[in-house]
Amino acid sequence: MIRMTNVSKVYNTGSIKFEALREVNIEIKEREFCAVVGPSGSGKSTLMNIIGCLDDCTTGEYFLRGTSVANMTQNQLADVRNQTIGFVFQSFNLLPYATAEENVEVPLLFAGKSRKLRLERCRHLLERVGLADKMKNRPTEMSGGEMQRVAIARSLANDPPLILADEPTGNLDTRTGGAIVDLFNELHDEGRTIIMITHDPNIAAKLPRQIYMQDGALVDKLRIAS
Amino acid sequence: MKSLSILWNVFLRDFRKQSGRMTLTIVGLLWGTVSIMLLLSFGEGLYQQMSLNEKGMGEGFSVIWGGRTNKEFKGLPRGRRIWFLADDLPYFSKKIPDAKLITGEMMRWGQRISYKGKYVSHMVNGLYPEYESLRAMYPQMGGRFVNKKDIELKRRVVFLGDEVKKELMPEVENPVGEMVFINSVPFTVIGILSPKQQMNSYASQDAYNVFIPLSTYRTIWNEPYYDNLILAVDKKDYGRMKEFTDRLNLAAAAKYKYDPDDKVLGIWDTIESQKLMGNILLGLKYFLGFVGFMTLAIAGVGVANIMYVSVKERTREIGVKMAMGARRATIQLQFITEALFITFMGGGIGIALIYSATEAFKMIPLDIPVLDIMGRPTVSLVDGLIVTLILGTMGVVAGYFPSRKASSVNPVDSLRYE
Ligand SMILES: Nc1ncnc2c1ncn2[C@@H]1O[C@H](COP(=O)(O)OP(=O)(O)OP(=O)(O)O)[C@@H](O)[C@H]1O
Ligand SMILES: [Mg+2]
Repeated sequence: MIRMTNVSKVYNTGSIKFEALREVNIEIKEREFCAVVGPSGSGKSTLMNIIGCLDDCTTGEYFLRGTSVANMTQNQLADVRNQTIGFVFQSFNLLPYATAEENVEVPLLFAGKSRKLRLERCRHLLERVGLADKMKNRPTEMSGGEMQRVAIARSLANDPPLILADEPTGNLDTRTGGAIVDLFNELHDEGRTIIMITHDPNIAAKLPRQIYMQDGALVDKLRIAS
Repeated sequence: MKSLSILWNVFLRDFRKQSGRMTLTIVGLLWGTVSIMLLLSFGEGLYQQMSLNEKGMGEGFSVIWGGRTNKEFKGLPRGRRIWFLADDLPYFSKKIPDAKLITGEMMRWGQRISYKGKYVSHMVNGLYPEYESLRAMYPQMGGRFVNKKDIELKRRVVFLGDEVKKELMPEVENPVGEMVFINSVPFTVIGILSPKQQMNSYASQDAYNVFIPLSTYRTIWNEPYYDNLILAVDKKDYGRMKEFTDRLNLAAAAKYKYDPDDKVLGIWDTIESQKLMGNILLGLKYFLGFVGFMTLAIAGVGVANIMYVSVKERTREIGVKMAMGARRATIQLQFITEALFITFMGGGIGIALIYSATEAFKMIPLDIPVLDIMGRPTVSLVDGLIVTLILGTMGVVAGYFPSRKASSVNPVDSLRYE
């Protein structure tokens, strides 16, 4: 699904160069469920953004399902984000003026789906995350856990094979977070590839695979422990 | 096609969702459009009315009257009276054969006009049938103007100004055939002047005069001299009126023996004065339009500003949309569409408002003297097109730059956790 060779990311802030990713080599197979862990500032989000085609790498190569992302046009990248990838963020990033249903509708809108199809899909997805009765609620009228469920429903809108979640439980209490992780487990069982950043070692430990990061580089667990 | 429908759906949805902000901008634009249209329509109404008033006296002629010599000439003394006689008309016509018409008129102020014991005091005008079209003296239904037979037979017939008719016989429905007296001479009414807007006049407003055949006039007052000659030219010669009056002056100087450079004749060139008035009016209209344009431009800056603020406020939203697969072109077009929609909503409502207001105003029968000069506000098609064009340009400009900013938003930056 994902293959990166020697991927680096350098940020230029004024005259200072900062290397947020250093020579990252990684392969993630179809249907894997990985946790990405590491201290704050270690480059987890940077890596995730590159995987999600929201950002490009400074050097190195990134292949998504066998295609080199560097060679894609802006429009192709937009279509990949629309069809292949579902994003879930720590801060939910729902549109504040829109209802739950309308938020889930966004990727469908950009996919050019008909109104009838869009409504059907929204209802189905919101039922699936257990929010059938909150379809017309706005983000301000929902709890954190509910907002994250809406965000997950939205990430599933176009039925993407890859879900990227950047600390989806970061703003939730343990119990609510646990329920969200359960939801991701279900999605994994359906055959989706999931990459999830988390600070919670308990959550990470339960997942099939862990990726450890430090100072912009991948490390093995042992070095972190020592 | 698909991307167009995507754009449309996204636009519709966001517009509905964020209509509060949009409404305010639309109202601002509406205000701008209303002011420019109001000014333009007043300008247009004034322009049309003035042009109409101008035409009330007729057009394309000069009025020429006699005077006294100021210089000695070939042994003749100064101060001689040079007035025009009956045989001057064929003389001048021969000398200036390319003139459309040369005719004369006689007038006497303050004559007593009476009808069934009622009397008023007005000017009596003696004239020829050509006067009808020359001076726009069109009769109301059922009546006629002085004709050739009247001249030939020296008939005692009279054509009344519409105001004279109102004063003398307000209740009479069909005044043709009625008998009025001028001083003590009975005259038969042959027609009433159709009401007309007349701004210029060289004696008094035609509505307040009475008109009789020149031959009749002459026998009553035994008057040999014309008060005025009227020299009319064809439309193609409007630009050369001065040439014609100069030639008439030369011909008169030759016949009556005075120095042609001695300013003996009084000459009023109506073409010249109408042109001047026309230019003033046009200038006024442009000025009003310019003031309106500035108002609209300010409203346009408002739209651009709101669009800019909107982009800033919505960077996070734009980032979210990009992460969800929105193409940059879609984002950009959405902002342009919003700006265009706002301008055309505001502009369209504004134009429609002013248009229906002016149309409604036309329907109300108002008899206010001011309207005779001011005219009624009128929306001309050209004005509407101009305003639409300005609005369109404004919409594109006000939308383009903010939309470029919007589509260059970096989704990673805008989505970073705050
Ligand atoms: N646009 C940017 N310009 C400059 N530096 C940046 C930029 N974005 C990120 N960085 C830096 O890159 C490093 C990695 O950032 P990143 O957001 O990937 O960390 P993270 O592992 O996700 O941390 P956290 O757990 O706090 O979310 C940080 O030191 C950050 O300051
Ligand atoms: Mg992060």
